Parts: sequence; C-alpha cells; structure tokens
Amino acid sequence: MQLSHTPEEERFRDEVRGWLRANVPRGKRPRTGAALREYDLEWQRRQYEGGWAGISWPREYGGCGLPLMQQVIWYEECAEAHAPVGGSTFVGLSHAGPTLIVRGTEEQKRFHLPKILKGEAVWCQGFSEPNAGSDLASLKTQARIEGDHLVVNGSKIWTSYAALADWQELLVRTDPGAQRHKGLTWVICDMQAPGIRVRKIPTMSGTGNLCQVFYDDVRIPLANVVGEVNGGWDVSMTTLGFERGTAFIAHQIHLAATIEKLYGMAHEIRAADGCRPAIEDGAVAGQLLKLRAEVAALRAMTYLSVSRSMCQAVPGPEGNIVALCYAELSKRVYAFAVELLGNEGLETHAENPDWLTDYLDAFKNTIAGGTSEIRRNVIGERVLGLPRGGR
Amino acid sequence: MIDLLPSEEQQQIIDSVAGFLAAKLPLSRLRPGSSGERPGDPGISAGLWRDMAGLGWFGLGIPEERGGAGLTVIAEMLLARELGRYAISPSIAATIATSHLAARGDRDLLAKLMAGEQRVAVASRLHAGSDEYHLIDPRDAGCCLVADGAEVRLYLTDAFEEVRVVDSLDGAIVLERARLAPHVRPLLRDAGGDVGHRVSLLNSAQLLGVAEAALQESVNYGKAREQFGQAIGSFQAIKHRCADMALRAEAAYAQVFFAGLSQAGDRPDAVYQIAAARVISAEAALANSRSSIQVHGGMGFTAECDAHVFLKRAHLLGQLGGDRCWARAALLSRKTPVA
Repeated sequence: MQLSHTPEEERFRDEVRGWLRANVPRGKRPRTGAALREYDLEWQRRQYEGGWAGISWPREYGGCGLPLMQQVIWYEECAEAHAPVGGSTFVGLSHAGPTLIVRGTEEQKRFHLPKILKGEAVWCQGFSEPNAGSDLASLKTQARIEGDHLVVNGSKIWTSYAALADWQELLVRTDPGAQRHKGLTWVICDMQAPGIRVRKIPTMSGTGNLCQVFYDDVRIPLANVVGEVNGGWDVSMTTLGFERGTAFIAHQIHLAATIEKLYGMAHEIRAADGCRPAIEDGAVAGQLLKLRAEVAALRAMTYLSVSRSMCQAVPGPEGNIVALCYAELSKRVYAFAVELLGNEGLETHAENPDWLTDYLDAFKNTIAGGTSEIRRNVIGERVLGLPRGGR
Repeated sequence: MIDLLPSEEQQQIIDSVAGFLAAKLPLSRLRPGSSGERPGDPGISAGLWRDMAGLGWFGLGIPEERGGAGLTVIAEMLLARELGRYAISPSIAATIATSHLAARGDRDLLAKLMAGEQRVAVASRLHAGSDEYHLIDPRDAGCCLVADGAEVRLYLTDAFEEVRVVDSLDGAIVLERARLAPHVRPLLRDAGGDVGHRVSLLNSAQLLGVAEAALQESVNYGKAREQFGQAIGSFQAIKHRCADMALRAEAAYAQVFFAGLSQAGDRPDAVYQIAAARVISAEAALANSRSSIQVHGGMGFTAECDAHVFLKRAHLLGQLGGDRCWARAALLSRKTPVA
C-alpha cells in the first residue's frame, strides 16, 4: 500500500493544472440543443490543439497514451478546474473510439478516430430498446442483409444526444433465429441516413438529452460492421473492458464539492424552528457529517478501483461496487439538499434552481448504465460467488 | 502512485496473523457446548500472549533501533483487522498503542510490552467529564489505556477504585466498572494526537474486520443453505443483501486504509480521513452484523452461530477508541482539507 506521488507525477500535475487554468471554457455549459453540441466540440477541439485529446488512447491512434496514474491526475485536475467532463463527446471518446481501436478495420479507424479526437463528430449509443433494458441480449431491432448493405428496422431508446449526434454505435439482431447473445451485430450507423427519426423524451427534471430513435428501412453499408456479423455481443463487451475506474473520479470530486456547498448552506439557512442556523440542528449535523464521511469513502473506493486496475489485464466485476456506491450516495446527497431548502425547495424559480434539477436528475443514477438491482446481481454472483438465480 | 492493495510483505502479515488466530483462538471458542453450557474463559492465556509477542505483534510499528519491526501503522492495522474478524480482546490493540507511548521515553516499559511481559487493557470513560470507566479484560493487565479524542493517558490498573465485574453484552470479554481515583497522575500521557490517532485507526481496523467477517459468513451460508430446492444465495432477496454488505465492507476497507496511509504519510488531511474511517467502519460493522443475522435465519438468532458475536463486538468497539465525539466534531468543524 502506498499513497504518494513521484516527482514526475507532481510535474505532470503542475503541467495539467497550468494548461487547464488557461484553457477551460468560462461560460456555463448549455443544457441542450445545438449550443450544447458546439460547446462540447469546441472544448474537445481545444484539448486536441493542446495535445490533451484521448488521454487513455494509444499514441499510435493519436491519443496521449497516459499511464493510469496520470489519467487519475488529469481527471482530478479537470474536476478542480471545473472543466467539462463527459457530455456529448463521452460515447465517442470512451466507448466508440476505444472499441474501434480494438475491433475496427483500418479504414474505419482512419476515418473515425481523428474526427472523435479533433472534436468534429458526436457519437451516441444504440443499445437499449423499449423491450430490452436490463435484459439487453433480448433486443429485437432487426437488420437483414441485402447485397452489401444491412437494412435496419426497429427502435432504440434512452439514447442520450441522438438528436445532436453524427454517428451511432448500434447493436442489431442480424440472425433472428439465433438465441439471445448470438446473432447480434455491432455496426456504425450514420445518424443522417434516410429512414431515421429521432423523438426527444421529456424527463422528470425537465432537462436531459434523452431520445428514442426509430429505424425504417435504414440502409447501412456492410463495411460499417465492426467485428463479425453476428459477433456483436462480443464487440460490445470489449467496450466494457475500457472502464478502469477513472470514470468515477470526476463524479466523486463533483459530489465532494456539492457536499461542501451544502456545508456552507447549512450555516446560512435557518433551521426549521427559525431560531438558529440549520447546522445547529442535531439531525441536520448528523446527516451532514455522515454524508461527508461517505463522500470521503467514495474517494478512497475510487483509488481502490484504480489500484485493482493497475494489476488486472481486464477490469473485474468489482467496479460495480463503487458504481453502486456513487449511484446510491448521489441520490442521498441531493435529497438532503432539498430537505435543507425546506419550503424554498418547492419553488423552481428560487435562488438555487440547480439543486432541484440535480435532485430530480439524480434519480437516473440508479437506473442508467445498469440499474442498482442489476449491479447487486453482478456483485453477488461475480464478486461474491453466489449462485446465479432467476431474474 | 496510489495503491490500496496489500503488498506481498503485507499479505504475509495477514496470512501469519490469520493463521495463528484460526489455530489458537478460533471463533468456535465462543460457542456454547453441545449441551448448551456457556463457553469457557474467553481470556488470552499468558502462554498465548507470549506467543503473540514472539511473533512481534507488539512492536510492528516500533522503529528497528528500538527493537521493533520498523513498519508503518498499516502493518498494525492489518493485524487489528484480523483481531476484529476473530473477536479478540481489544487489549492487544491497546498494548500496541501503548508501545508507541512508551517509545517516547519509557524504554523499560517498551521492552516489557514488546516481550509480552506487560499487558495493557482498555479503560473507556463512560462519558466526557465522568470519573467512571469501563475496564475491558483488565485481569492480568498492569496498566489501562484511556483514549479521549486526540489525548491518550496510561494509568496503573491499581489507580481504579470501586472495581466491580458487570455482565457484558459482548461475552468474549470481561467487563468491569470502576472509578478513577481522584488526583491520580497518569504514568504516561500524550496529547499530540499521534498515539490517539493510532488508537482510532486500530479501532477502525477492528471494526472493518467485523464487517468483513459478517459478510463472509453470510456469503458462505448463502452458498451452503438450501431452501425451495436451491441455495438461498441464488435468491435476489439474499443476494442483494449480501451485495450491500460487500459495498459497506469495501467502503470501510478503502477509507480505513486510506486514512492509515494519510497518517503514515503525515498528510494535512489525516485527521479528517481518520474521523471518516471511524464513522464508516462503525456503521459497516453494525449494519453488516445485523444483516448477517437475518441472512442466517433461525440459526442467526442462536448462540451456536457466530453472527451475534459480530453484532456484540460491533457495539463494543463502537464505544471504544475514545473518539466518537471527536470524530463527529472533526467531520463537522473544519473545511475538508484538499490533499
């Protein structure tokens, strides 16, 4: 066990900090629309020009090829500098790009990878369907082969940024006779292709970029298939192999900063009895100190994930533990914020509208990207070794 | 470089301690006899205590020039974690902490502690300002260690008066209640925080061990016990309970050792991290041991199952370390230091 940084790592941190200070976009990130796309791509272009695009990508594909510890430092400094992380460039940089690097053809790599790094293309994900959520392998969006094209019919859902995206990583069923995981194909879909219709899905928080995508005889060249036809499940699993525990650093630091805001708020806001600051209410203080301890532990868990990643060729199922912890904890943090706001929390035009948006938005954290229930199954079966059972 | 996994050398410490405890002080020592009679004396014999000293337990973190192994607090915490798993007397952690107190000036005492010739018991003040204390396993202990937040004080056991044995919730220890004689001066005292923080870290590590052991026994039972024709661990009702226990154990492991590394590296946020470790590990030990009883069903309610041992040990350790109020204050009073 150790906790220290080498002089080289410290120099790297200084370099990153200096660059971010000069280059992080100043304006607030738009919540939706073309303005959001432009904001995210502009930030990506800035990183590319500064030599910071694709920090985890291998150098031969234009990335920085940073060692894991330097990636950690990069994300920590991004969070400290309030740099945008994720957003509409996330799927391209963290899913599609790395998948193409491992499984794509030379032509696919040559065409797509530079566009992702340079901030010229937005990608979205087309995995979930209205009737295939947690049970992804039951997906039914069908693609039949006609000459040198796939012809796609069906629908994908929960696709963030579909209305803003140029490309989609699309998982379709090419062999309707095959069972579940077999008979699926991973294909690059041009979001401007005829026959694609995008419907925005309003969310409970009033924000978000969730969409449903409909495919009506959409023709995709077979040359866009990544990996083998009917080998798509395997390709989609390689995507998961890139998750090294670094993704949570930004979330965890943001949550820590949120707690500190609440700590400040608890000194300013009156307690429910109106006679003293909220922090002097024992119940408020008790919740606050517990949340502070839990956020501290989340950070330590992130470091534990990274420690494991350094000695594993492929990330293990333990990553689900920190993911579950973040999801559940973030909901509790925002619920506490709304409780602290008291009656003010009923007004969306109050001074802190972000608290309410963040509170409502946090409900997705235990659903998106694997529900807490599915994560508990994976932890139970693959980490603890309990027998598989009915779902 | 950040690495929260045990090194090879640290894994050897874990294996050595766990092997010793499994052979000499297994949890089965606390189970009632076949006809329901209460288990025998839970104390650690003089011979076993000397064996522990022979293994170097009381000098792991003492510098080599003073006869110790020269390791960091992490090594001591790895030992303490195993003590938690086997519900071993808190006297061992108290003796380890006292070695550090003695290393600052009382060479004679240090030598005795490391040789296993002097035991130290925990004396836990009932509440701030009180002169009443709980003494835990004070028999055979010449001294008692009091931890009050960052301050620790070592008294002769004789300094306590009106001593009476009381029935203990945790049957694996002997609990006494006593008054500290007025105006008695401690043998040794440290208010600098270093030893006090070590006491807290060792306590948190024991709580971590309890949380992990309760999880492990639940998982084992979930695999072995069958109902409705299948292992109960295949049911989500049990599986998800175990997953939540794994989450609490992992959070406690990560935070406890992160805090230990912060202390060892003398980092500016060490106190805050130690306080967080205390809160997280205490919660994990209590919640996991409670959950473990439910997973074991009717067996979990019996004294023949170890689940109750973990619950009671979680309650005991939750009162020790002298740092409940201190940890709360540390987590509320200061801005989180960035490190």
